[in-house]
Amino acid sequence: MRVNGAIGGALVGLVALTAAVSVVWLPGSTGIDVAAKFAEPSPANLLGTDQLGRDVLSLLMQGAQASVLVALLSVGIGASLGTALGLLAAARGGWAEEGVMRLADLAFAFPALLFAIMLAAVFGPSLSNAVLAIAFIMVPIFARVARASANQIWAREYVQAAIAAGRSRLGITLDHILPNIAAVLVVQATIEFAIAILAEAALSYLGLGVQPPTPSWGRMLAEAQTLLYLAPQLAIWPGLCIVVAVLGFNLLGDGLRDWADPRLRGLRA
Amino acid sequence: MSLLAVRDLRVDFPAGTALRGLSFDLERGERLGVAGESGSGKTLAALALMGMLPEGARASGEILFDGHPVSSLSETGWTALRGRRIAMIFQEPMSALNPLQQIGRQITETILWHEAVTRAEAARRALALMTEVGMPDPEARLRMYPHALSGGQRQRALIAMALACNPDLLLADEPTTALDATRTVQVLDLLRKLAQTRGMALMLISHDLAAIERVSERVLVLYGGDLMEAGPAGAVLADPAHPYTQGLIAARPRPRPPGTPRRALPTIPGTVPGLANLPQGCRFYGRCAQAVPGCADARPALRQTGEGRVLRCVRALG
Repeated sequence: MRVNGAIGGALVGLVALTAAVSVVWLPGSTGIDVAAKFAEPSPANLLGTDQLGRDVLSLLMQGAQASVLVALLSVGIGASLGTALGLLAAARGGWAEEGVMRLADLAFAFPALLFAIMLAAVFGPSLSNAVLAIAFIMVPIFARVARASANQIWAREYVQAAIAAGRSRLGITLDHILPNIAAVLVVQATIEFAIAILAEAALSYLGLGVQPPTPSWGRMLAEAQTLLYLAPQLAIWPGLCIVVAVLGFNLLGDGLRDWADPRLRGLRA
Repeated sequence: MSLLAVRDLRVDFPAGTALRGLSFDLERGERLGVAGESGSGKTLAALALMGMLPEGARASGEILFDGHPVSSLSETGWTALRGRRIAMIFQEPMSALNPLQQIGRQITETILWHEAVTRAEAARRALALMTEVGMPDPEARLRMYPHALSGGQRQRALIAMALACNPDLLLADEPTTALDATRTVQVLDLLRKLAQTRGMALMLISHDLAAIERVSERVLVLYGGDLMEAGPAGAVLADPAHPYTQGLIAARPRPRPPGTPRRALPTIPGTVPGLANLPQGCRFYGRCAQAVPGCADARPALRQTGEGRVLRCVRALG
């Protein structure tokens, strides 16, 4: 559906814009001011304040930074590494392909949360370790998608023609394979963005991600948990933000896939 | 020394033998036709010459290109040979071009890959090639994407790509199957003219004897992975000796002279058996009208029957 893609694009744009704006400007103060705790919504604090008197809207806007940053970095790392491995597997075939794919199976089978806890235990919880942990889940996904689509392109006659013209496997991969699977990878990346945002929220909720005082939607959710009867709105707002971001990326991914469809006919199983 | 010498080329698959010891020579500038039905091994022979046999194929025998055995070539050695000394054009002009790349880029990439020339020089040569293959409005076509070209134009673009580095040998695998009759004649004449003016050897693979007659000086007739008959194209097609060649020629559709009664087009009975079921003696045994029981037992020897003509049949007199 064309409309879904547009809505998704708008939601994603909103999240990205919010994150960008929050770097230079915030509507309220995120400093602790216990006297102003649990303030009702007012012109000064549009969504009220939290248990430490911080402006909730400002926290949410800053929280978008963590989400966008973690999602961008983890999908970026996961997609480039995974795609490179998948392309390598498809180009070389034989034992190299087997090896890469069995490694991907292994990474898939390994619980991602356990890996995140392990990273946090060894290097301490931080944003960069959350990025690494999420990228670790992404690598095998992109490796599989890239290899499967690349193998289909390798069977095309124009690739045979390129081999007959004496091109090397690397040249063919860069010139013919990658451009022809790019659409599939972009669609996959948007969907993985949604997963990354959810994963960042989950890790921060568990205290394995972004550390105080940097705000993040997952951490706001965790802190609001104990105040659920007293101030349920503190849990609702960050929850809503996560929903909006994930929904936006999913809709955008759907839209992109439909848009790319005529070109992908016969490429997807 | 011949440009190409193939000696006892054999290709085996787990299911059976697909090419049963093929030997032939190709001189510089010579135009050779390879005829046969699907499954006769003609495409496989071409792929063996390019070092592009499908997975699972085991090849033996010797291929000497310009006096050098190709069997010892590494992957890098092959990439230096393919496209530069031996080029190949494929059946389907629709799918043999990358849909996401401009025609011009696809030609210049091959030149830039093989030769140390500037991008401008490569572009200039691409334009010259497009003109040489008779592309209408070549300058504009260079910037077009494959979908904007007609079937005949795409095949011309593919021929231009294949000629990019002045190969000594061009393998054309059924280059006209996807084209209509008029385009077929044009592309065949173009191939013959290019081979003549460039002194390039041409190996035309086709099931279409008329195409081979139009282009080739010499013809090899393959059936079931075995060479059945070979000789000067005119002589073999005018006076076929092997029952299989005779059958192929009888099965050619021709215009019926006005006033003569309609008659069914003669066919060769049966179909080509699968690899595993090919007869062990003469490959054509079982479909041959002239076969005698002895034909099933031993592979007939290739024997000389005339000036440059060879035949693999115990029955035919040749």
